[in-house]
Amino acid sequence: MIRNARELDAGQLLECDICIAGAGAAGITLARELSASKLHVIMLESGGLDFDGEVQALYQAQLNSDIYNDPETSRLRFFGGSTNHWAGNCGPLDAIDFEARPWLPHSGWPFSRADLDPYYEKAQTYCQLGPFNYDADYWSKQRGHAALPLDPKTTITGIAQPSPPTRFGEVYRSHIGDSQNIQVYLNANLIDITLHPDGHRVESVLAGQLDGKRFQVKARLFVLALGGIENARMLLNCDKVHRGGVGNHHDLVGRYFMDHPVVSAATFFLSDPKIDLGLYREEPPVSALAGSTSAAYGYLKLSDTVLRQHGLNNVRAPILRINRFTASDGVESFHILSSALGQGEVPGGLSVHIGNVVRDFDMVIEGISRRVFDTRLFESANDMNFLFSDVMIEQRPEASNRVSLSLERDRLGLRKAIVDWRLADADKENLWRVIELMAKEFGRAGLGRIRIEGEHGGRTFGEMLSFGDHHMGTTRAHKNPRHGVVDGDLKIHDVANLYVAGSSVFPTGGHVPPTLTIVALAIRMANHFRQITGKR
Amino acid sequence: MSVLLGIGATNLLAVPSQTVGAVAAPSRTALQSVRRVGEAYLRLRPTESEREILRAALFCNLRQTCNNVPTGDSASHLNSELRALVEDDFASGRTVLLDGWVLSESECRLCALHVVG
Repeated sequence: MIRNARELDAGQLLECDICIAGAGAAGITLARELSASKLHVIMLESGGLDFDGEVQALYQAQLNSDIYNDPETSRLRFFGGSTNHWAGNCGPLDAIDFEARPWLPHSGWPFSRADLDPYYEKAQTYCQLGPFNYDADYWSKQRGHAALPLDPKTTITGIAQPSPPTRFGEVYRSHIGDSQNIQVYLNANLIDITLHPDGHRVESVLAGQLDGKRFQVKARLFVLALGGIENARMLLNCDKVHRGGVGNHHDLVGRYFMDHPVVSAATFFLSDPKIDLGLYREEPPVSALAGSTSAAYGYLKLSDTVLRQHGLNNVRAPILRINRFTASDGVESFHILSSALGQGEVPGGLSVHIGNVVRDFDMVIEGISRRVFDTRLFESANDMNFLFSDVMIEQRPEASNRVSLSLERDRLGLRKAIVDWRLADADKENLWRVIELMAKEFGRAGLGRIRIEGEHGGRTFGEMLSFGDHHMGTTRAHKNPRHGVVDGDLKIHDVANLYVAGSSVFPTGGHVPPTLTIVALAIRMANHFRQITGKR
Repeated sequence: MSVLLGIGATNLLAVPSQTVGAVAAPSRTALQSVRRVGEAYLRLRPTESEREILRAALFCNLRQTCNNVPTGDSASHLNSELRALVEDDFASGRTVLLDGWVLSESECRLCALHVVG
């Protein structure tokens, strides 16, 4: 049943077996997994069924970074969470990502990829993907395009599967709404976690709406599924029993914040334009499975052997095509000129921009035509110019990258988040080294050359950088409470009944977008709950 | 590669240019890239900054001897030999990172030859 918390009385007490705060990919998967059980579940969602600017504003944070994306725009705060705008790129983390890698401080998950595989397989269905098969040979046959003939001892074709993308709030809304044992409360913000005075057990949580009405939920088990920044912010805010916040005895909550930086790091030049790159194109296969959106595409990555040999973090390099229109300097200069002149300013490099527009005038006209008349004029706009790679890198966990609390409070009275994020020089060096090794293999295989697009020609690293907006690491999992906020069951160390779901538990993030892993972990958590409660 | 081999065959290794029909004339931008790479290579290895040293280094590898620097080989023959040399460079790990390019040593020397003239 899905209800509006505004219908509740002020001060009302609700009771259940499991209280889940947050209805994104993690929360919805967990609730759906428990929907067939004998467990009574209450799910609290801050937003409604649609976007609401006032609710979204609760994400406002202070960013101590000029380049990092504002969470108020990168997340969504209504039923379905950020799956309401995610891109859908899916895959499991690599086995090596779960290992404690001697060259990567703070790496190592409390369980292995093999432990997670059964849950990954089920997660495929949640994300509306094809079979749990990420083997390049398999998908080569499915798509009828061979993988590049690279030496698998050094460079491998990895596989990603695109979700439609699944809007969890839409796809699973009726199932959850129809479930007798699930009650969803919309417009229900988690405001406080009330610990027993000994600090080792949650007794209840306080929830409420922006208008000030409050209610209480008592449960046997509680789950935070609020997102990578909000999970930490909530734990830090709840500091009545423990001064540093819940689960923060070792000053780990909020630290080791990571994302997947995406860097326009490489350009590919093929030795033969007829080289088949079909497997690497983001298109569905010819033989799409019935009732599924089965699709997959390839990218390049280094083998585990090379990663170990050189002590490197994981990196993926998709091979993307760029056409004449997209690559047009004239179009870009036209935008810069329009924007500046519209504000009565003269942009820097005026003569260069005018030159670009004149030289690329047909593409400028193409752009105007597309925008104003929704019409395409020049077929040559689709001509392929070159191949490039937006490389997704595994950011090393660093304690100084963190979510902490500002003195400023939001409308619910909670202190807002401060987000400190920077990319270590070692991560940049790691990136260049990975591309160099790939380039050597590309050359050895006779496929062509790869150019590393570093900080040359006046281009800064920041101009090459974008983000997956994958917030990870702020409640990292580790068996030892000195190194992790949650344990292998994703329960907060020293708090008997408080769990954390979502990518905040990732100790490291690999090069893989996190949603499939988030969903797999939620399925695993539901399994754990059924076991420990004895209610199946 | 075709740009590099074209420059190498016609301008740098004293092969008569009329024998290079199969290789398209490189564009101005491509030549600028070749020059940048060549200059970067010469900065990296200043001991190779003379034409004869570069030619000798190339052909020591190409012919396994330094006593047989050609003056009149056909372009196609030379191109295929250079290709094999470049492949061997990559297979043996003789690569150099210059101006963002990961190139074989022989490619870099060809670019450097373009610079020293």
